[in-house]
Amino acid sequence: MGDVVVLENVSKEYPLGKLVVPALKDVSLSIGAGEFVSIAGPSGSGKTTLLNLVGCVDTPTSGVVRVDGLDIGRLSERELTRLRLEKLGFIFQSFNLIAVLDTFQNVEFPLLLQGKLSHRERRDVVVELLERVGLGKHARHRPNELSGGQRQRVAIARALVTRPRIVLADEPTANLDTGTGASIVDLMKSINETQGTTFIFSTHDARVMKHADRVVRLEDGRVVSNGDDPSAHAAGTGAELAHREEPAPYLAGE
Amino acid sequence: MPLHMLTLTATLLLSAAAVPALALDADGMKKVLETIDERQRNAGDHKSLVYIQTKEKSREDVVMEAVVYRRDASDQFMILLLKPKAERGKGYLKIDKNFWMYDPTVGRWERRTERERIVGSDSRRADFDESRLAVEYASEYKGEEKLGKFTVHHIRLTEKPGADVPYPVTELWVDKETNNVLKRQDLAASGKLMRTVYTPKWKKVYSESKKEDVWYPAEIRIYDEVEKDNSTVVLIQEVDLRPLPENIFTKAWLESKSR
Amino acid sequence: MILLRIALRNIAATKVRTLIIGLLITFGTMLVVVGGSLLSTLDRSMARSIIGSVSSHLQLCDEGAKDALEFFSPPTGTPDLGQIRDFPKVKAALEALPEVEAVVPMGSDFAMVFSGNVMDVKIAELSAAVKRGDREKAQVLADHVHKNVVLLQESLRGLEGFVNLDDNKEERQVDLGNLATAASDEFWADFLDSPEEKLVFLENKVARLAMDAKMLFLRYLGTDTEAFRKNFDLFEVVKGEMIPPGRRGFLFSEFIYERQVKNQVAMRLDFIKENLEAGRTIKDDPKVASRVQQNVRQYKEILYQMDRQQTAQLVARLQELLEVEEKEPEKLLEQFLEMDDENFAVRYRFFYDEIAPAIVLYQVRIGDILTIRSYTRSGYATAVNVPVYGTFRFKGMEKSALAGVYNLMDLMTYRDLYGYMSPARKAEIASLKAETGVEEIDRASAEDALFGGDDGEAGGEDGGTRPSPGEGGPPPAADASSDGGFDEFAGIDMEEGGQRYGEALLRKVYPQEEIDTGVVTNAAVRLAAGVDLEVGRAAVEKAVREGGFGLSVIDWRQASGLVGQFLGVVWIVLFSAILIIFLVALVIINNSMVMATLDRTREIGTMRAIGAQRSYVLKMFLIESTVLGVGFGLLGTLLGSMLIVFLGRVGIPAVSDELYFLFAGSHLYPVLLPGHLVSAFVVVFLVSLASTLYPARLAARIQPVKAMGKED
Repeated sequence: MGDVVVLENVSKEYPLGKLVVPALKDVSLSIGAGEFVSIAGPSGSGKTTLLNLVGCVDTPTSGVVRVDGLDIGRLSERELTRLRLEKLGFIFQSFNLIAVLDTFQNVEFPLLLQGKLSHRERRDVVVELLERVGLGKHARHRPNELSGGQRQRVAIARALVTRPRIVLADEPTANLDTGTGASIVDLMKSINETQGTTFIFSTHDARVMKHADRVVRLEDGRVVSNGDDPSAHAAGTGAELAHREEPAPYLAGE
Repeated sequence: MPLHMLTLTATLLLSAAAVPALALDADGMKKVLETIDERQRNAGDHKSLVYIQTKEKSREDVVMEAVVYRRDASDQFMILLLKPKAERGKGYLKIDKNFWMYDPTVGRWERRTERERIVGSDSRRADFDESRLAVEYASEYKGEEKLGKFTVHHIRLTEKPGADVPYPVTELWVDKETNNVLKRQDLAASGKLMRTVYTPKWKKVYSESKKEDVWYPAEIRIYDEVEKDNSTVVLIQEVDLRPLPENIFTKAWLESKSR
Repeated sequence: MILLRIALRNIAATKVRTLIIGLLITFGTMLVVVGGSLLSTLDRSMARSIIGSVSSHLQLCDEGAKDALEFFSPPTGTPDLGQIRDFPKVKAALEALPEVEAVVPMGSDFAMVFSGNVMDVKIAELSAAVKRGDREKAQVLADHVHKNVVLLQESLRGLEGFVNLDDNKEERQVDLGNLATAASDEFWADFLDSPEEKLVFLENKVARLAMDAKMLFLRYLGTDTEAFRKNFDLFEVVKGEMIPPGRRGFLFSEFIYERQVKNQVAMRLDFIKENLEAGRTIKDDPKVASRVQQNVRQYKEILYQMDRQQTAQLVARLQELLEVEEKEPEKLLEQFLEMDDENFAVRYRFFYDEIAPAIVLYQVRIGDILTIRSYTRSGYATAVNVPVYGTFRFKGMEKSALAGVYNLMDLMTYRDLYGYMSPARKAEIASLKAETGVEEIDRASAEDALFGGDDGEAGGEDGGTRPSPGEGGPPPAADASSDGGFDEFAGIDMEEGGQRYGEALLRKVYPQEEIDTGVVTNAAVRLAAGVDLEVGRAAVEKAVREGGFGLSVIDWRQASGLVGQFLGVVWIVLFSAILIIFLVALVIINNSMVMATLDRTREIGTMRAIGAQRSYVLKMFLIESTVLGVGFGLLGTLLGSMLIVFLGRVGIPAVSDELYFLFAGSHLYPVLLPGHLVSAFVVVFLVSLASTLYPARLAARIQPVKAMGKED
């Protein structure tokens, strides 16, 4: 299996008034198909920037980002959007469900954007997926009628409904309590295992990181540990890191 | 010479000096007006055949022939239209202050005023009536002027109270030599010039009743000064001074003429 | 349709905003539908009024006319419309067009009609009776005149105090003396024995003191009466009969006849009756009450017209009706005319049963010969006689002063008043001129020509400024004819002119050719049934151009003058109101959509991240506002349509004369036109689209990054 994501000497700078704030500095990284990768690092280390670049919602200042073999710097706005729709799935920290749509409709939404499946096919796919994430009975509920965990399951279902190659999740458990967070990660892991979908998620939660095949650590916009290095991998499981990440983020809501 | 005579002489001399041309004094002017009146007056009846032709902008000329009957002694006056056929038998009859118009096509009499334009022309009833300048107007001498090759007196006449005249103010230009009126201008009370009238041809006819000649203007040219395109020519073609039938100045007589 | 679902959900989610926008759009569309339908119906009814009465579809008039043809503008003098130069040719050319049904020649002007004062009229009647030798009638009339003289003396007595202040004091004294003579019983005792002198006395010394001559001011339309009758379908004769084809004749507008020609007391009674029937009362409506008071003051209008016998009869009947002993007819009439809401009906009937037959109810009666005086622009009065055949009105517009403003006459009479002369008259005048041979002298050079030269002017054979002494002078003895005598009647047949000439004119039946030839200031063009106004206009304009007639073609709207412009103003007001409402709606929708865009940044970012294209976001917004627009637009259209259907059933009452005319009747029944529904819809659709363009573009630019990170 080849690499689905490749970053070559990627830098990203944001203008902030007259200053230019570097977010990523010369990052090179590759992630193979079917990997379950965690991006770790303190706040402001460039986790979100990295995910945005991989998620094709942002472009690098320099360097090359390849997603499924395509250099995203060479793609147009429309093509990037198309790429996101076809190849990527997103799970957001704040779930980002469409408030006016119910569970079923939220999950169905990307399929409608794709416009490839018939009404019946969409229904079958969505119903099956909702069963899979344990929301079979909540198909007609609106997001505000669901708990945080349920909402994130809806979000996962939405991210998976198009059978994307890569699912990106930015702090997927940050707004959930510990138990719920764990079950969400379990769900993601099981999908990763059964379907071979590549998962790339950021987190500061060490318990979440434990489930990762590989942890990429960022500090000040640089990759400090690639995760290919077994020692770094080992260190990633250490208590020392968790310690630095206080206060504990296992809080529901917000 | 008594003192008052001297003063009078001095005053006359002074007033004569004030007017550059040879002025007429009040008496002289009165005399001129009286001469004009007297020459046209007839002791008995007066009948004339007149032709009236009026031009108006963008319209056919109004043309007609009429007889004017007058008995000045009793202030009686009548006009009977002869031509054209459409107007034939129409007439005006003045009795006291009433000025009646008769229309035979309806057999109806209507009251009109001194301002009536006689059958739509620019002439007024007074143009056909006896001249009474000395009686009806107060006069003012304006000076001696030239009118063409004639030397004329310019006299301003103002209506006396109670006089029934069509225009309150009239200016006259009178031939110095013959005392014939050659030109007159009629003004409204506001001073606006209403019409200019020329009487270039004077004729006279011997009157048995007066035992003297009676003068009349054979041609009267009237220019409307308000509607500048309008003008009227009146020709007095014939004058007959023989006595008229006694009962002629009545409605019945005029009515009988168109039956 | 997920987008529709999202849009609906969003609309439902923001109730206040939706309500405000909804109200605006609903109201706006209602306005379009209701206003549009009302005005269109009004336009139709006006078209009916104006086309069916005097204008027809198109009007032709001289291209170079100084004034515009305006049928229903307030009179400001005689407009200078020029002339249609060769009407028969124009008529032939246009009537040959398939689009044109008929061309009707016209001309309009104002005229005055005087009726002598009652005294003059009565004395004239008396004079006529005397001449006929009808002693019985003469006695009755003499009594009548005597009574009127006494009444006049009484009414002038009040003015005696002023006599001393008068300039013409002596004259006034003489007048009053004459009046006293004519009022005395001695004057009348042997009246019928020698009436002639007394009649002259009455005519000239007494009657002129009664200064109550009436004047009617009439607007008239001269036309080919037969063509008019055929081509103006609202035209109908009310009283009397139609002017026979080819004849001279006059038809009063029924409205004018009833309001102005009628005896004033009777007219006021009619007015009061009409108002009472409309639910007003004498007690509460000052306008009605003032009419009652005017009548009380003008009892003389009635009394002057009654002779002694009639007066005595009236006294008896009034005593009976009023149950009083009063013997003075003045007092009785005053009491009678002092009407209130209770006794009005009875007294109104009494008036028409007992009084009306004894008086002249109309100044001009049908069958009378009317003498019309018209002033030309130069102020010269012409008078023409024309028989009154009857009255007419335009169907359904009986009460409209505007529709009733024109009286109708034949073209021949019109041309006489205009000053046009027939070829025969022209020839007569020309020969008269030639006979006399007056030299024309220009005003500017008059003095030079008359008094300047040394030519034969002075003292020539035809007389000069200074007649030679020999010209007059005493004639040779016994030559009576040398007084310059002439016989004015030589060669003139008095019977040929005057009365007979006039009578012949009134009897003459004019052939069509003569009717068409002569002055025509404007002409109505009636289009064939089903021909569109603009199509017809284009065809007529083309024919006019090709024929080189030099005419301008205007439609009924322009030709109507102020009335037509009125509708234009109403249209502008309506358009402005609609424009303002939709502008406000546009701004509000725009603002609220911008707010919504900001509120929904995260949601939109999420959609974009998930894979929605910009166009998708754009569409989402446009659909939302379109749903709003179409939804409330439908509601507004529905409400507006319901209102129009309702109004169409009950009708909008015409509360004023002007409305009566505009409505072409007592009520306007608005009709719903599909065109207005469509335009309402289009307008709403465009407005909602326009108002969303900016916020939708704003939304489409939201970056997918906005979906990332924490919620605010």
